[in-house]
Amino acid sequence: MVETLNIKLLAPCRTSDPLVLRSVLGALDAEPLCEPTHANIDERMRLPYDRASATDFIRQMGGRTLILWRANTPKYTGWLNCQPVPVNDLKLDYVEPRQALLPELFNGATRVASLLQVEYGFVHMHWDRQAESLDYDSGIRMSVRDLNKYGLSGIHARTWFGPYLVELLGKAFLLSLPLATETSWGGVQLDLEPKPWLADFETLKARHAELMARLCKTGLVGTFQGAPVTWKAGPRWVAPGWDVRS
Amino acid sequence: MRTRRCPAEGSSVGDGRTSEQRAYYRNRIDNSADPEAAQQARYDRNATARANRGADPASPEDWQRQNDQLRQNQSGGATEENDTLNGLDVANNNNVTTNPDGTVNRPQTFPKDADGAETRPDGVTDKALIDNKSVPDTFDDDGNPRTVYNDQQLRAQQEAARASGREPVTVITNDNPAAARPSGPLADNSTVLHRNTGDGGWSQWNNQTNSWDPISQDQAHSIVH
Repeated sequence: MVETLNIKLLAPCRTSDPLVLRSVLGALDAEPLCEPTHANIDERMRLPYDRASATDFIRQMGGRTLILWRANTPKYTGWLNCQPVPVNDLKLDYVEPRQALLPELFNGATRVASLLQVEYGFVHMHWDRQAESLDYDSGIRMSVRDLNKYGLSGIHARTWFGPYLVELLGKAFLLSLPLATETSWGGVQLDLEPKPWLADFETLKARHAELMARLCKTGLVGTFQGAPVTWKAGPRWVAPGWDVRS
Repeated sequence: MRTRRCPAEGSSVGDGRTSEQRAYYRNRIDNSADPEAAQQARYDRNATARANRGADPASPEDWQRQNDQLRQNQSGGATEENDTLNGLDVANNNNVTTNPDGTVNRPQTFPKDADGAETRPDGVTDKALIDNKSVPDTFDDDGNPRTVYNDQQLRAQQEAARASGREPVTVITNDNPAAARPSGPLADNSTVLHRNTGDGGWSQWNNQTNSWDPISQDQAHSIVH
């Protein structure tokens, strides 16, 4: 059984604006398995969630990260960043989701990604194999700030590349990869397996290594190795300014 | 002590009090006629926060005991704060200092919230706003590392740092890095360092591996200068 299912979506949404925030939360609420049950700007205290109160937290307190919880099955912890920047990230980490729910979680994440027209995003299946899973897990905690500064870090069970990344990587290159398909918002969706939710760790790890070798040749993958932390941008990476504050 | 609560209604956020309640108690504390009245206001503030969470007020004795413990922790924390800032070659922004030419450096503060409260980072450089968080050396009762959360103070400092083109830097101190870690939101929004109070060693939180990477003192220095 997969230990966590990590969903991360980097959306071109200025969620510091209450109206934009309401619409992003609306996209989440429309998915039965994604709707939060609790939220707060203080990660130590869960308050019952409703969209209007959550929007008020950000507006009243000038909060910049809305912490989200789902106490119903499948359970998750996560957050929605609401920085005054062009791209903000939504992150949901489902803890030990039942196998039977995985297809719908992939589908739900795909519908939210499509509504938000993400610049980058993924669904990652995580098994804790310590050193063995280090490369395979690369990038699951990628922040907007780090992606903006250093470039890509990894690919996942399902990965979305938005218009900016498609332009840098080249649409023809991306679509030449197995199981790559165009999205409705000018991006590309790349799966590691035809039905990734059925795949085991060894299969996904092997497919990941194969595709990362091809992706690294583009010069757009950053170096995120420690220690010490001396991260370097990919040689061809051009920062898109997704973290420029206004 | 008997409680006299703020009558304001509204949804509580962040620290468990509404903005009206925070302003009300700030005003009561700042305008108290004597120290006893200020202490009563602080107790009432605590009782209100607890009531908002559906909890009964703490007894005055328990509340006082918790306060005493907090003060003791803060005293230990101040020593570690000074050691951290000395290690980074940064002046303590909580102190008023005098330059050789006689000019005075006063603590730099930044807006904290809509109520007009201010936050004061422990250290300010041209490149970074630094805050020190001291945690116990031991794992918690469940065997987990002590977690430093992205609280209102740190969030305010992250805002101030970015608004002024600086990097927010949080330094966690104890003598056992394995027993300390930042929360996900903190690691996502701040550079996080660890200073070992036992041997003075430095580490940096690696968000990709979710673990500490040892770094040299020069490397820690270069992050804030």
